[in-house]
Amino acid sequence: MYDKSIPFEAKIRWIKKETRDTATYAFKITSREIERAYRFIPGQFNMLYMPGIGEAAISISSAPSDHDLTHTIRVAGDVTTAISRLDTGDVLGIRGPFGNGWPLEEIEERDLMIIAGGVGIAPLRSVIRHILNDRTEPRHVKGVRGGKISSPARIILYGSKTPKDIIFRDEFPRYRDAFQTFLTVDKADPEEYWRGDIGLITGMWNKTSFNPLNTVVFMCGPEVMMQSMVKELILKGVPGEKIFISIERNMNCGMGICGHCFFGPKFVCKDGPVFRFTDIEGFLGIKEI
Amino acid sequence: MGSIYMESLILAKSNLSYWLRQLRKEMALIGPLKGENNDIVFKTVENIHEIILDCPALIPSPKEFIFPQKEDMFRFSKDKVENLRNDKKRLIFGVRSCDISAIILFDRFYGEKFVDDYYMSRRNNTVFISIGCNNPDPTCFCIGLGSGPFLSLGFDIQFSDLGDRYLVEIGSTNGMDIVKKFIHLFSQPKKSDYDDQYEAMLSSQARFEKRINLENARQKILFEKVDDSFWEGVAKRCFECGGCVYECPLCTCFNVIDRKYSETEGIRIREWDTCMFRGFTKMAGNIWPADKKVMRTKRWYFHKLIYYPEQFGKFGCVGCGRCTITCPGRIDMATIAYRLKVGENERKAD
Repeated sequence: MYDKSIPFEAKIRWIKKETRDTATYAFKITSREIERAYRFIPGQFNMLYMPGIGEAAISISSAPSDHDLTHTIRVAGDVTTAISRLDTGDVLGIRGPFGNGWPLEEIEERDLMIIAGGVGIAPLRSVIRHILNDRTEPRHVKGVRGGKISSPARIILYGSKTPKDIIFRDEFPRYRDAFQTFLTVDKADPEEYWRGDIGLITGMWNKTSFNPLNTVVFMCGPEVMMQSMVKELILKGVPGEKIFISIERNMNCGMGICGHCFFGPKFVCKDGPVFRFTDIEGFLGIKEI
Repeated sequence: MGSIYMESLILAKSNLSYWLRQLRKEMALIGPLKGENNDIVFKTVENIHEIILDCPALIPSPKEFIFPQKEDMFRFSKDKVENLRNDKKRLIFGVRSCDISAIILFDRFYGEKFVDDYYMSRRNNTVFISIGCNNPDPTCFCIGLGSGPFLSLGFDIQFSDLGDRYLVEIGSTNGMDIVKKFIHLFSQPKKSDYDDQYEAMLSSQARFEKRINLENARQKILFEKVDDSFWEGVAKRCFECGGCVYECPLCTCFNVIDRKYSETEGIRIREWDTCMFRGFTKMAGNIWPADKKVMRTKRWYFHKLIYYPEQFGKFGCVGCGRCTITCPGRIDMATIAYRLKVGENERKAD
């Protein structure tokens, strides 16, 4: 194993601009040794390091089975601004992977509902691509002659500010192969062609059909959105134990010791970023502690 | 249950300075010395006779030797990263039981999921000689937390002052290593030595002025629901000076920053930080998860009183009483525990 407190070098292989402030960067880990040892699960994050400026915790947006390791980064602070000035071939530091990742074992036999808001789609793209990559259709189940048992339902609900802010816009057609995909925007410019929904993500229930008791929810987005979403989900009958939320906090060491990412009794970098809703029930939305 | 240690021996006080002098040849010796302003601080010992052992326990905690206030992590230049981990051998003499208890919890915190190399290399290369407290200070309340005045396990070497000699209990292989080479200085203890130690312990226990039970405070918070106005009142008295965190032997938070020497060269350091400061949780995009003072003060107490026991089965406080001395607003752990206990009405009269 390599030392997770020392960054290793990674080269930018390509950059793809997603929206006006967000871009996807593909990295190639320079050291062959580390590249071989580097393993992650969807939902984990890396600390991206710009020497002299600092580190930012950014979730991995590619699936483990993907060829490239990618991060989808929205410009928000010093480090992300510095990264946005980089070009193909430039080098930066990476530490990681950190965090626990999405509980993929939960979705093997259950329906999955992915709910994302804004750049919160990034860690979920990792799950989406993971499912797409491993999909073996049609699914035959032993013992059922000629029977094709429908695979569990997969739903994506994704909300953005405007149609222009939709990240991975070009990939959604492919997602529709395996997922029922619903996009919504807060507001759309009437000049622009937009055939998706307009309105809050919470208003999309009537379009989806799912069995609440058999559904697992993976959710990432602004905390306000997640709070109201959880409320709605629970009223719909989804068990709180099956709602998983990815939380963002200020992360500094990534190893659960510097204390910056406290979330109630938990440290987001070590115990999270993905939490079972029932584990953090008392802390979500209550800003104190 | 009795003590867990490997061996106990007797060291005559007259042999102490010879032993320390010999040990100093192999490793840095750090002990409580008189500082510049007549206060007592842990420093590298130049002259062994200057070590002050009958000082109050309130001197700055020795946590800075395993968790320095400012620590270099690595140096980066254009094409390489150089690790600056410190693995100098050190002996810290004259530490108190409460600080040893704190270090044991520190170890668990820093080694829980990831093992922090910087901390661990310092820790593994440091031997502590602690001294049981015969004379607890008026602010001490370790007795209520089981972290003092004498320890029964977890120490490297524990001294008990028995007048003209020390009872030396060896509690770890690291401790054994520094005794083994000088075993001729030590003698076997007699039964009366143990009796003397027991007596010293009893008399020390009787001298505690503060009897604070943090368990009461914890139960009060958990089961009786402490009103938010209580924490508002606490926050009102907080100056956000960070003094409690600076002195607390169990406050472990740090900040990681880069210092640039030139465009391509620089150094990465980490230094003490505190959850009492507003910017502590600030995120990119101007998001402030804990922007009110009441959240931060409350969090400090919750972490020590509720979350530590949840995670480690022990309070995040060892009863050293340093915050009692330091806090200018008198909202230290002992006072808060007391106020939680006495309840709303009496507090107003206070």
